[in-house]
Amino acid sequence: MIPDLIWEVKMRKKLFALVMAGIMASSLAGCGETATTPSGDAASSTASAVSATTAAPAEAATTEATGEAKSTDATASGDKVVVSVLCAYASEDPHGKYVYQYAKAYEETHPNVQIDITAISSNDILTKLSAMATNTDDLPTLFWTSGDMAPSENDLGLMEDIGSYIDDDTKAGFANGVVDGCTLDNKMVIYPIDVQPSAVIYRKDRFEEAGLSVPTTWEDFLKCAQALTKDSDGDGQIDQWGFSMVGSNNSSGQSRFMAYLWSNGLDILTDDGGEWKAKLDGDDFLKAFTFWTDMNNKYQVVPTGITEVDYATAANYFAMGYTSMILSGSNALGVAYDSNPDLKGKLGSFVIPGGNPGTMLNAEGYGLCKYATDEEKAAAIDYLKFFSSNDSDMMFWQSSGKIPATLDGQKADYISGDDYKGYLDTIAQGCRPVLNFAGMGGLKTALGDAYSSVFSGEKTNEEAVKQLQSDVDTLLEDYN
Amino acid sequence: MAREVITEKKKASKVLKTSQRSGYAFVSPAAVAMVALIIYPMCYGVYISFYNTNLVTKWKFVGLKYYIQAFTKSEFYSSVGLTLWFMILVVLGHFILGFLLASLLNEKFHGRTLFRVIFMLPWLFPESVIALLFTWIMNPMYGILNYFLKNIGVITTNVSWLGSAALAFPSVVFTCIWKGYPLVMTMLLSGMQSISKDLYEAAEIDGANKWQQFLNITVPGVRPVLNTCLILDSVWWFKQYTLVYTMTGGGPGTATNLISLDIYGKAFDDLQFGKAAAWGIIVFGICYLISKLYRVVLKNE
Repeated sequence: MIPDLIWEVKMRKKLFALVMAGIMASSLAGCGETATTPSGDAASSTASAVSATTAAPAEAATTEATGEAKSTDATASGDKVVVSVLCAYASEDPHGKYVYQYAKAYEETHPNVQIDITAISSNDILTKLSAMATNTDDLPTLFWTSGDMAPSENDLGLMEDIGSYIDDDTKAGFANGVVDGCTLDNKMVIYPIDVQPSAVIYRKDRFEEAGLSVPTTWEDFLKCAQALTKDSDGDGQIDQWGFSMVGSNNSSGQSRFMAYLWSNGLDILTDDGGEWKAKLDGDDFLKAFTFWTDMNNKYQVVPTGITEVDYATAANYFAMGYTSMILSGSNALGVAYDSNPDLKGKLGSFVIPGGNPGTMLNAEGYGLCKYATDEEKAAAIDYLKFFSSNDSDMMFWQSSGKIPATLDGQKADYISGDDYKGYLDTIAQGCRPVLNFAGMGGLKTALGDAYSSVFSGEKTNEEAVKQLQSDVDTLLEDYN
Repeated sequence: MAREVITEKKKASKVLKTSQRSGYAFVSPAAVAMVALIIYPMCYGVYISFYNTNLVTKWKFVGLKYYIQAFTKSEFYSSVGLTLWFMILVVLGHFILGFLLASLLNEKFHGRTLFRVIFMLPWLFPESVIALLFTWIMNPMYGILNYFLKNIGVITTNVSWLGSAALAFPSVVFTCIWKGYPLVMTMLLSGMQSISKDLYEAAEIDGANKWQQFLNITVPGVRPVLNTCLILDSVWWFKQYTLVYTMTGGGPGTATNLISLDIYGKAFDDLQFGKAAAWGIIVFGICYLISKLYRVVLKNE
């Protein structure tokens, strides 16, 4: 009797275990389905064609044959439309408040549309979107993006073709090169709000005092930095440094390091007939890498604790007068003037030294989520048009220091001075095309690990470059 | 007779079925939660570890590639090595400091309760708050640590505590020891309080000094608590993320690049979810081995 009971219990346990295993197995089978874009094509978003140079009129002209864009009238159904926005502008000072102001102004004139803004740091936005992308219901209608982030977001299949929602007149209103800078795989993926090429902002007053002229080579740049590194209060400690380098190992630091490498004519990665190849070997690369790290380790023209100096810290150091030059987008001007209004008239900017285009045009703006409803998309584009044109004083751009993406915007008074000269010269001389590499995050991580390991004394320059080559080779295995 | 046996068998079966049913009913919510929150994600993690995937548009089967890479390329095993070293130092620090303070707090003196509260405070603050506090304390330009050390003449120039490969690791270890010792201290204190005072009196009569009493009475007396604490503390700090990420982000270079930060970076910065999942599975195995090893070693003792 007892053995029969034990047998019965054991059989029930086995049956239970089988049922649980079956449930798990069926749930795993469900996980294996490939996520498809709404058109059902799961593969196209991984293509790596460089958009700026390809011409495919039938595909690129995503507007209809008559040149008319898709309707942006979201009021047809009369229902309230919620446009959710994941916004990096909103998290920044001093211009973040204008994002909310413009949204509120739009809602007042469009009562059937609600703009929900979620502020997020630009360094975190790709992480957030990649997590949200696994459940398309979680995705926002609009998300902040930029020229170097868009390839990764496009690879995730998130981006709608904005070109089909805006007409030729709107496109013609953008400044030269902007639409190209917003296009990937023949698809306009960014609605541009501003352009952020990099240049070097400098203290004109200190340059004049020291008898320095604007450098055009990195060697001259170093000489200027050395001349401006000093003990200004006579206590035996250096308290002013020539260069406000962003040495942190995050996107801010990594982007600036890439700009420096490009300005030296180093391509880093090239697309060789559909296969990505790293260009990190050779003496030129090692020499340029060493020059960058030596600015801290040998010449000490950058602030103490360089690996802890992120963009916000570097911009504040510059604003407070601890440093005399900073390699950045024009948004650093906004931070400088907001933190220290006395700097008005004392700042200038010049093209990144080196003699080669060191920066992409780096259009910034918003991507339109492919998974939003048609009403949400229409309302979102209408809102962005309003955002770009509603404020005749252009306070968002003025307060942030950013350069507007529109032709009219770039004629504004506030960007006519010496402080913007470097940026306008950079745009006029031509910027690099967009690097349409989906693994940009991994590439930047590898670059950041390399320079920060040398800054910290963990590795020599040779060891760091060797490790960098290995890391990038491993990365490219997954993208080729 | 046969009928009686059958009837009894049916009764027993019915009793058994009823008790089994109620047992299953009681454990099923926890079991369902465990399956949903632990088993399913783990199984899914194993599944995606065989793919080069961004979880959305790219699912390229790569088999054991990431597992092989973990053991053939240094980026994984050097990070695991660093994490093991971090775990050993932090746990050692917790136990030394925890034992010391627990022994002190086990004595009777005025204000003992107040000191117990004060010594618990680091544990009560969130990790991110502690991390930000210490980041500012150790800031090379504005931090009070440099200010204080310069004033007493220990250093002459500002030191980048979190920006130097040589100092960043000890700095985060110190912060983690400071954050985590109260738990160990509390558990050891509760263990010590369960040891009878008679044993100490008897030992004192027999001529044992304080150190001998500690070794021969206190340590064996708290052994059950010690074992549990050691296993928990080790696994918890092997998986440490928040404090180190907030303070150094794993840098400078790879000086504080614990495996948890590496896995997170691979997944959410580089969007290499398959690789991150493979590493996560291996780390799970390592944590399991650690707990097994501790049990075997401590059981033998």
